Amino acid sequence: MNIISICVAAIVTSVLAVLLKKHNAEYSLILTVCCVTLILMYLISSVVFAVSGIEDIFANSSIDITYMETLLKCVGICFVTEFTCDCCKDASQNALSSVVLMSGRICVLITAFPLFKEFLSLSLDLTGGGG
Amino acid sequence: MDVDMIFKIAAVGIIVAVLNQLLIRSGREDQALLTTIAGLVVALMMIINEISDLFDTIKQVFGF
Repeated sequence: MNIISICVAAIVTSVLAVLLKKHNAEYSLILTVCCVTLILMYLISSVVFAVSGIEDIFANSSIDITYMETLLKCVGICFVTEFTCDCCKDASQNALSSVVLMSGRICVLITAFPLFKEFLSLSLDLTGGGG
Repeated sequence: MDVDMIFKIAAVGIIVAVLNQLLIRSGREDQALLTTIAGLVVALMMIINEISDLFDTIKQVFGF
């Protein structure tokens, strides 16, 4: 994970984007989105081994594997939503970015709902208040 | 990290800007618009492949 190459790419892209903004703004937007995509792709390719490490830890521990899958799915949803939201904000489309943000939150809520249910039932059992 | 994609899109943008000015100065505004739209389609095609690769990777890594 070479942070220097990421910073250089970002600076070069922002300079090129400013250059292109004067004549035709749509190209500077496309350029920025392209550079963000490249950096995210580079980021994910270096995160992959961390994810498999987490899976190994969860595999030999007693914790159920579905919790970890839900957790990873929520992280993925946040990843995609953040990317899209910032790209829309970059194109000064604040309405689009806020609706994407809201749908991302709801998606995470729906994905994590079984976890909440399980947690509530567990806590009710512990406190002995359950039916 | 293939940064040549960034420079390709920047090159398309600059060439289209120059062509645009050229066509406008020589009195062909409609062709200038067509050139801009054509350049935009080329750049969009390039970036759409890149974004689809990113989303496929995310889907595969985070188990969608």
